[in-house]
Amino acid sequence: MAMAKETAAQEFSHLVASHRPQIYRFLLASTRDVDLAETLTQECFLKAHRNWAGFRGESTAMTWLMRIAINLQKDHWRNRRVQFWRLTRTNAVDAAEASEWLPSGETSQEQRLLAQERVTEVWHAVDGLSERQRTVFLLRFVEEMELREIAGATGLSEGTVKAHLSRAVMRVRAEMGGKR
Amino acid sequence: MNWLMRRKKAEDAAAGQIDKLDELDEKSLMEPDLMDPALRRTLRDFSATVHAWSDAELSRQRPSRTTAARATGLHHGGALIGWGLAAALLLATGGAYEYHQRELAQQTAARIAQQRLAADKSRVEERVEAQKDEELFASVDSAIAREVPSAMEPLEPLAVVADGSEGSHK
Repeated sequence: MAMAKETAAQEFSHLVASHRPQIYRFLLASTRDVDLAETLTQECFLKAHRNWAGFRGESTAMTWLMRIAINLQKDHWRNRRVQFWRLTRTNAVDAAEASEWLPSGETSQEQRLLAQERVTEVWHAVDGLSERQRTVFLLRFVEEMELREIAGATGLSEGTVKAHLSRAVMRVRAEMGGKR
Repeated sequence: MNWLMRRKKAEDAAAGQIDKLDELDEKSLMEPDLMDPALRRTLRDFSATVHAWSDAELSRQRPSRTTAARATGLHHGGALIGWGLAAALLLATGGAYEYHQRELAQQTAARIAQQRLAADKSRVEERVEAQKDEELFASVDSAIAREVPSAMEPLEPLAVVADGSEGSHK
């Protein structure tokens, strides 16, 4: 019995180590708030730990964890008491600041600035997306998940995922086009 | 009647175009290579930005998370217990945070040991220098203090001779 518990603890430890970066990244991109992303990541693994025994492996561990993370951030924003924080976004980094993290390639300074500007436009477009569109967009283009996996993580059908993704991309395109 | 038909045709054509666009979008969503290059590049840069930012934040140590804790504390009644459990969980699982903490502690210990070593070394060097100075002063002192013949010493034999001759003369 103790042996089984130890094995489960080791498995979970491995799960945390291997999936924490991806969960944190998704939550950071969703909230643009470093502290909130950290808090929600911890809550996600806490919740996962509580339910670890019930995980049957019907989906991949990543999909399962992502589903918990999506629900946590959804719950967080839906809570009326944090609406004020949502509106003021006191801790959230603004789009231009977030775009400064663009890794420096071998391009010229001018090209780099241009690329940063484009990334800022994407952040603005993401701001204007609905919660579902944003989630689907980030899972596809940041986490590079397949539509099937996104459907599993969000609990939506693949068709709905496609529709949300399509609208999100159109919005990004419009944002980029509008500033040209 | 005609204008109604024309309008319907126009609407159908527009809908057809939208369908075509949607179809293209759908394909490009699955196959990013089908996207227009500018959009593809921008989305790639966007993803790279998020990855770089997240990696940097994960490797950075953040001791205080007061505002976020407050925000979630409002939401979750047992947030304090949750934090405690999360901390215990992270400690138990030897998570990345603990690893960084340990690494930092090791680095600090190594730095302190290095500083101590350097201080010891400089103390020894100072002592050696001081000893050298003392030896130098001692040798100078001994050189100065060496017994010097009295000024009249070379003339002493002459004085004896003079005394003798004076006696015989008498």
